This record gives sequence, structure tokens and C-alpha cells, in this order.
Amino acid sequence: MDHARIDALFEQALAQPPGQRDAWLAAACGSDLSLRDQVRRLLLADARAEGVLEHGPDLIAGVMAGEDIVPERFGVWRVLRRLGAGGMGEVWLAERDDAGFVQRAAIKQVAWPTPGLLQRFHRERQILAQLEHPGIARLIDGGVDDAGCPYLAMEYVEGTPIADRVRERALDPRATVQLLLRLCEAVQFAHRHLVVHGDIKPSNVLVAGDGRPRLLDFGVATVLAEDGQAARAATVARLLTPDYAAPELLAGAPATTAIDVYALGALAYELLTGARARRAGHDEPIRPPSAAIVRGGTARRRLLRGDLDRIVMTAMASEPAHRYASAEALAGDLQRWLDGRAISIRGGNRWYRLRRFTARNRVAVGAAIAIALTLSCATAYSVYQARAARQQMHRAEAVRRFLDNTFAQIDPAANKGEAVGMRELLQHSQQRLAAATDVPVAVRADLTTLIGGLYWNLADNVAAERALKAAAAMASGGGVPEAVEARTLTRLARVEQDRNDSRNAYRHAERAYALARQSDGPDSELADNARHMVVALRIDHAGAAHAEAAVRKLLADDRARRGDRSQPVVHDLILLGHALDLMARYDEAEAALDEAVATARSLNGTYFSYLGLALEFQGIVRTHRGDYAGAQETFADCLQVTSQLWGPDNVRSSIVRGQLLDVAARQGRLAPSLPGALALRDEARRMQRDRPDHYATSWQLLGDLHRGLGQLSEAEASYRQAIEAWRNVPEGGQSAGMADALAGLATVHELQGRYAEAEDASRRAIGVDLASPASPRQPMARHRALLADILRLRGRREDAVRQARQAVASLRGSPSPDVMGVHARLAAALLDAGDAPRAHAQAALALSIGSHVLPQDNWQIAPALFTLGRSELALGHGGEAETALRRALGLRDTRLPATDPRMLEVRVALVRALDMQHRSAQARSLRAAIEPLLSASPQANLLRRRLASR
Amino acid sequence: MRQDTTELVQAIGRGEVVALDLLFARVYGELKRVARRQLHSAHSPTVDTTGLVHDAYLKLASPQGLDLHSRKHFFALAAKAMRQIVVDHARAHAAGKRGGGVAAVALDAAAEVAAGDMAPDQLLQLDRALTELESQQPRLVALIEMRFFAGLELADIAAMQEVSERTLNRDWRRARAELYAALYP
Repeated sequence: MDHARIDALFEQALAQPPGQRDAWLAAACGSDLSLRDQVRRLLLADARAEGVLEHGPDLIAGVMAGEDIVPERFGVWRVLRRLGAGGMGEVWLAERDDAGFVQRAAIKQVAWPTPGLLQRFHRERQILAQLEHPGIARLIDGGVDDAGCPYLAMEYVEGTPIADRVRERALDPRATVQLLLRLCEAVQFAHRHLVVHGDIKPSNVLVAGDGRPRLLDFGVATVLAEDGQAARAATVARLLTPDYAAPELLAGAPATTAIDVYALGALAYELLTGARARRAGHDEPIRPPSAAIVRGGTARRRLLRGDLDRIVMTAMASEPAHRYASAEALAGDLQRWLDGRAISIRGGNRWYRLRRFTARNRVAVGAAIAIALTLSCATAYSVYQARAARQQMHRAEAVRRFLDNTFAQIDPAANKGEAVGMRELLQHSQQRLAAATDVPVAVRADLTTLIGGLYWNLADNVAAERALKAAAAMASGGGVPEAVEARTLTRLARVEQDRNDSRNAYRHAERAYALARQSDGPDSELADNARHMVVALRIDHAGAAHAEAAVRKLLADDRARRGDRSQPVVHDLILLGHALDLMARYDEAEAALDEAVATARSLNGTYFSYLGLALEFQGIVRTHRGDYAGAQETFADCLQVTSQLWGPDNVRSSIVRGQLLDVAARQGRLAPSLPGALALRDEARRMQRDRPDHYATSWQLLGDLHRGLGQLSEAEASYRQAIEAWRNVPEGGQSAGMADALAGLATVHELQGRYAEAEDASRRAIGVDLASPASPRQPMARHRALLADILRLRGRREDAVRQARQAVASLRGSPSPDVMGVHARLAAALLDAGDAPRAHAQAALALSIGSHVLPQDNWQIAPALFTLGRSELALGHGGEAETALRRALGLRDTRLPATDPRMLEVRVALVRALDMQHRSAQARSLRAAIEPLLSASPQANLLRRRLASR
Repeated sequence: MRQDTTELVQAIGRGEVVALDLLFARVYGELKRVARRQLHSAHSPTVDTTGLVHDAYLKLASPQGLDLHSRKHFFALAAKAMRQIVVDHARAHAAGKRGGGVAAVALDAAAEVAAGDMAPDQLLQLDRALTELESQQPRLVALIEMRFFAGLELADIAAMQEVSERTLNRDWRRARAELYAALYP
């Protein structure tokens, strides 16, 4: 049978009007009656089959029925029994031994693993583990079962689902609201830790035996959600129970705190009325709870009507902007309802306005809450400060009016419907403040300071400095309480410190401290804040050695007054760690920072930013001491914290990314780090305004990478850019970064054989070091040893030995890669000056330091090995020389081109080592291989001479 | 497991028959597993077939998914596995209820078929008709499997097979007519 022909006729016949098909077909088929009958039969069947087979057969439960297979274990978890099935798969009760204790957990099998699930789990775990709250069941573990199916282990809670509890005990609205309040507290706690639940619903809330509600599955939605926007929408639609999901979530928006607020509202609705607020697929407007009530009758209805209706409906507003700004705000109104006080949303849409400007990102939300809080403090403060009652009224009224007008401008209706971001709001407020001559100058100064602080929170340091300088000018003009000026100057000092302007920062901090002591007393919080700034800046200003005592005194005072587990203690420990790092006392520095990290972790999320800072300094110390694997881990943690806190695009996250690249390079991953370093430089260039030092450092990183890869002209250009960039940093000309950039340039010139320029650059680096009391100890020694090496190559052997000895003598503190390098250069200087035995001893010392502080195969050990090999040669030990040289070669040839001077010098020495052992055939072939390459080296003549001599 | 799946699908593309059997067994097993979970979690007596097939795909395909060519094979296979599952069940059901005998099907059963809940006997008849048709027009059978048993949309199938939706729509009517004519001569 000719299927193609039948296909064609069938299609064409269908295109004819039904009444004419037969005639058409008869004409088309002519005498082929069998063909005609075939097609006619199909046409007939087609007409009758309309709608047939459109829907597949329903697979009833029986189709899939089969015995339930109970898995034996999930990783270390032994399965006890099946608990049930949840939205994401089956749930099992399991236990494991944990340090002698038997820990129980609810294991959830993930039936629908989304791409990257495990990575997300690991990323989130750290944060989720911090969610220690009596109202939250934590995520404790996760992994992959034997079949490759991921699972999550959750804290196991024995309890009744909240809806059952309310129904079974016939809880009245008051008791229900009390349960909801506890739930709001738990949610708010998580939000403060920057964790969104994303899937709050009745089955996720159990009421335990103690009567407290516990929220399950925190962070699960985040872990399960995919990264891509469209993918997330698909996952969300599949995973979530749509009845409790905020409309924007179903539309694919990312999970935010507003989504949890909505779900809390939906939960409240259901618990209070016994009816579900919204059914999936039904789009009609939600009836107020009092109208939807299922049981309880008129008395209950009367209780709900009015405020409770309004509270629930506000929480469930379909526009996020119309909802409560936080779970805390919702809890506030629930509490007010319980207390019989007026709720916040009565007769106005203040939350609506507040929500409007709390943009989308977390910093903005935090800042917005900060602005609201601080503004109310400002009012209270002004009231407290003012002497006359009239004046008090006047100030409070001024703040209130100003705020009211500012928020009014943010109202979308008044703002042509455009959303206003945090930055615009601040800009706008500042302009309005400058023009608001009716507002007393003290209030204006205070509010401008506040705005400056918020700019700083957004990492917009330029705007922050501008605002704070303006505030300082207002505050110093007289008629302003000292406390206001002290606060302004403390903040200004903080921003100036960030911008590397430590001289002005120190000056302003000292003045702030003096003012604060005068106005509020030496033990006041204000004085305390200023004192912390002064001590922090003393390290930069007077040097770590001079600041150490002050830092330790501050730490002791804070321990005594605030307790060991307090935020000021974390801050002081970071300072101490930083000071000890500058003095190269790495063990002590690490110990201080370990305590800082542990304390910051154990404290609440409020001190989260200190955790980031402590981790960053910890990473720096580990880098300095050569513990690159440890540093990498720490910086990775740090990046997670900073990204959580400020977002991945923030300059602070960018800085940590730079440090991660630097550590990778030090571990020998040079070429793979290059693309990242180039991207980082572009990113840093965009952020140059706020953190010019970051931009300069990004060039330094590029220079280091190019130099390590033997790309000398690129390295030279990068270091020159770094030097130029440091010039644009306030006081950058005297910074340790500038010294490093000059030293980098000197090293490149040394490799290029441009010794005069190299000497000049290295001397300038030492000059920068000497000009600042805060210069870190070991880099200073490294720069002097570099000068010694350049002098050695210029043939000034005695000067070289003298400088190298001075470098070694100036070393302090713990062993580190820097210490190894300095000793290796002294060895080289001694060798060229003809003192082979001492050279050998120094080289061996350098190598033992190197193998102590670095992994054996780290490329930075190569110079020490090379010098050791050369001194073995000088002592006539051909075999030992060969061993050392081959190791050096092995560390260099993976990344350097064969023509790099560092490759050639080792291979030339190797030829001599082979000659010395009378392995002339090998020596000859190696000599033949490298001779043509020698002209590429700036030391060609020297190397040729060495190659020729036997 | 995902890695294996990708390799198996590619092997099938090269015409390796053993791979086809292996993958068929795997997809068959996975579909049943996923469906069981769906039934447990949704507390609903029925399964969303389309979701089932897509989830089995997510479960078995590599994280990057399969290329278009392999995907086509995968979904064709999954659809065949769905047919097998349904027919196995219908067979078990029919055997249990009627002691092995197959009762005649009323001619006006078309309405029931259209509604989507076919009796086990009808499903078995349909299966036989499909097997018949498969020897002559395998392409049409594959289409019916994908649309009817796996619940895939014509538009999705068209995109996967890189043919126009119009062509596919014609094939669909053709296949449906063939089947109808075979079932109700």
C-alpha cells in the first residue's frame, strides 16, 4: 500500500468542503478504486473519531501499586519507619549516632531533584545551621542515597499539625492569635538571618507537646528552587501548595520575606475561619475572615470583624507593597489586637508607603528599617536633649513633618507611579534636608548623618563621605549638641578609613571621642563607639606595635563590661588579629580571629557583618603564613557571608573574590585565574569611585599572575597601572599596596635585565615602607631582600650581602613564605660573593622554612631550591645539585615558557651538575637544547659563561 | 545513573538494540516509581501523565539535558513505556475480573474512549490495534503513544521532531482515523 499517496490524498480531501469530498476523491483516484476506498474509509473514521484519544487514560492508583519498599538507610542515617509523604517525596524517621548520642531526624527524599540541588544545599547549610530557635526545626544534613536520589535530614518534631490542633482543641481566636504570634517570631528570627522560608503552610507547622508551634522545612524551598528564573517558576509551581503561595511567587518572582508574610496571613486566615482563603485555580477576591467563618457563629464573627479582618487581609494583600513590611510588623499588630490597642494599619496606609521604598534588595530593606528606627530615635533624642518644652515640641514636630513629606513623595501616586530605590530616596531626602530651613540645624545635622550612614551601608562611600562632611559642617557651626557632632564625626571617620584616608579619619575619631566624653560621659555608648574608631585607626596611624596595648586594653574593658560573647568583643578581636598580622605574629593573630569568628557565629544575625570581617582577616592571615588551602576555605565562607549581606555585586564581595583569586594564584593556579582576574579588574574599575584601593589591588593581582606566567611585558604594564591607581587613593602613595606594586615592577625589571630601573623601583618600595609606621613587617624585609638580589645581579656583591643581611635581621614573627624568600636571597648573595658554605646553610634554612609553611609542590619554593642546587654545585656535590635543580625545574616548567630566564638559569645549572657527574652525553644534549634559547635571556652572557665552564 | 542514561540514549540513536532494552527497563521502572510518589504526595487517585513523563526525564537525563536528537528518542521511548504500563495493568485487571476472558466491546464505546477513562478491555483492544498498525506505520504509532499515553502536546512533539505542527496535525488525524477504523470497522 502506498502510504505517502494515501497521506497526500487524505490531507487534500480534508481541505475540501465536507459535502464535496467524495466527488473530489473519486476524481483524484480515477480508476484506482482500492485507493479511493482506503481514503474514504479513513475520512469516515476521521469524522467519527473527533475528540477520540485526545486525553490519555487516567492512571489510577492501582496501576502503580506495588509493595512499599522501605530503604534501610540514607548515608549515616538508619531508617526506623515511614512517616508519610510530603510535597517533595516520601518522609522517613531515621536516627544516627552523633558523638554518643542518638540523634533522630525526619529524612525527606527529594522526588524531583532540580539541577544543582546539592550545591545549593551545601551553600545554604551553613546559614540554615545557624537557625537555632525554639520555633524552628532545622535542616541538619543532606546527601545522596544509594540510587543517586538526594535527601534532606530535618530536625524531627513530634507534634500535631497546627490546623488539627486548633480544630481539636477548639481554640478561640485569642489562643489562635497567640500561636500565630509565636510563629511570626520564628519567621522574623529567620528573616533576620536572611533566610526566607518560602513555603509556609499548615502542614509545615506542628504544635509540639509544650504547646509551642514549630516551623518545619526552613530553607527547603530555597534549596529546591533552581537558579534560573524560568526554571524557578516551573519548580515553584510544582512544589508549592498554591493556596498559600503569594501571587508574585506563582508568577515566578524570587522568594522574599514578603512571601512569608503572605503565607502567614493565609495561615492565619485558615486557622481563624476554618476555611482556606484561596483555592488553587479560583481567582475571585478573598472574602474577609469574618465573612468566611465556618464554625463558631456570630460571637466569633464579631470578634474577627474589624481589626483582625484588616490584619489578615493586609498580610495577604496581593501586591507585596500593600502587605506588612515584615513578620515583625504583622506580629506587632497581632499583639496590639490581643492587648486591645489600636493597630498600625487603622485608617491609613503607612505600611504601604514604607513598603514602597524598601525596594527589592535586602540591604535596602534593612536600611529602611534602620531609617524608621533611627528616625524615631532622633525624635526621642531631640526631645530628650532640648531644654525648653516648647523647643522639644518644635523639634519633634519638625522631624515628623519632614518625614511625612518625604514619605509622601515616595507614594507612587505622587511620584507618577515609579518605584523609588533606596539611593534615590536618600538623595531626595538629603536635598530636601538641605533646603529645609524650617528644620532646626541640630535635627538637620543628625538626619544628614543618618543618611550618610545609610549610603555607607549601601557601600556608596563617595556619597556617604559627602553627606557626612556636610553634616559635620552643620554640626560644627554652633547651636548643635556635642553628641550630634560626635556621632557625625565617628561615622565620617569610619567612611574615611574605608577610603584609606587614615589621617583625617584618625583626627575626626579623636575629636569625636573627646566630644562624646564631654557630652555623654566616658562610659556612654557614644564615647565607646568613638573609642573603638580611635583604637582601630591607631593601628594604621601609629603602627601595630604602638597600638597593641591600646587594642588589648579595649578588649579587656569590653570583656569586663559586655561579656565575652558580645559584639564589641568580636570587633576588638578583629582589630587585635589585624595588628598581630601586621607584626607577623600569625599564631596569635589566628587565635584572636578564631575566637572572633566563633563568637560572631554564635551571636545573632545582627553581627553578621562582623562575621564577614572576621573571616576576611582570618583569610588574610592564613594567606600571609602560607596556609593557602585554609585561606581559600575562609575566603569562600567570607564570600558567602558578604554576598548574603550585601549581594554578590557589592564591592565588598568583589574584594573577597579578588582574595580568592590571589590565593588560587599562590597555590599555582595561575593560568586558570587569569580570566577571573581580568573580569575582576573590569568590575573593580566600575567600583573605583567607592573603593579605589580595590581597583589598584586588582591590577596588582594581574601583575602577579602575568609575572608568574612569564608574560613580562603584560606584568610590567599591570604593575604600572597599579602604581598609577594607588596614586589616586587618598594616602595611597604611602600605602603597603604601593610598596608592593613598586616591588612587583622591580621584580619584572630584574627578570628583563633592566637592572637600573629595577634598583630604582625597589628602593622606592623601601622608601614607601619606611615612610609609614604601619607598614607590615615581613613585606618590608622582602622588599629589601629584593634590592639585595638586584644589586647582586649588577655585580655589587658586597652591597648585596649587606642589604640581604639587613633584611634577614629585620625579620620578626612567625615563619612564612616571605621569610623563606628573604633567606633564599641572602643565600644567593653569599654564593655570588664566594661564600659557598654559608650560602648552602642559608639555602637549606630557606628550604626547610619553605617545606614547613608551604605544600611541597608549591611553586614559590623554586628559588630556594635553585639557590640550594647552585650552592651544592659550588661545593662540588653534583648529585645533590641535580636533585635540587630537577625539583626546581619541575616546579617552574609547568607554567613558564622555556625561554623564561627562570627556566634557563635552572637548566644551565643542571648541565653543570651533569658534567660534574661525568654524564657528558646527557649534558651535551641538554646543552644543545638550551643554547639557542639563551639569547632570550637578559643574562645571556653570564649564562653562556656558566654553560661553557666545566 | 544519569550519565548511563545519556550513553544509552545515544547508543539507541546508533541503533544498538541492547541499549534500547536496557533503557526501556529503566524508564519503565522510573515511571512507576515517580508515579507512586506522585500518588502518595498528591493524595489524589490519579496521576498527571504529562508531569510523570517529564519528571522521569528530569530524573534520568543528564543535568544538562539531552540534545534534541536524543530527547526525541527518550520521549518516544518513555511514551512506549507508558503504553506498556497501562496495558500491563489493564491485562492484570481484566484477568482478575473476568477470569481471562475478554468480553465484546460495545460499538458505541467511542464516547468512553473520548472521555479518557477506557475500560481495561478497550485498552487491550487498542493495544492490539496499535501492534497491528505498528508493522505498517510505526511513525503513526509512535505519535499516538506520545500524545495519548504520554500526554505530550502536539506542539511539543512537533518541536522535538522538527516537523511543522501542521504536518503533525495531519499525521495525528491520519493515525486516529486508522485506529478508529481498525477498532470499529
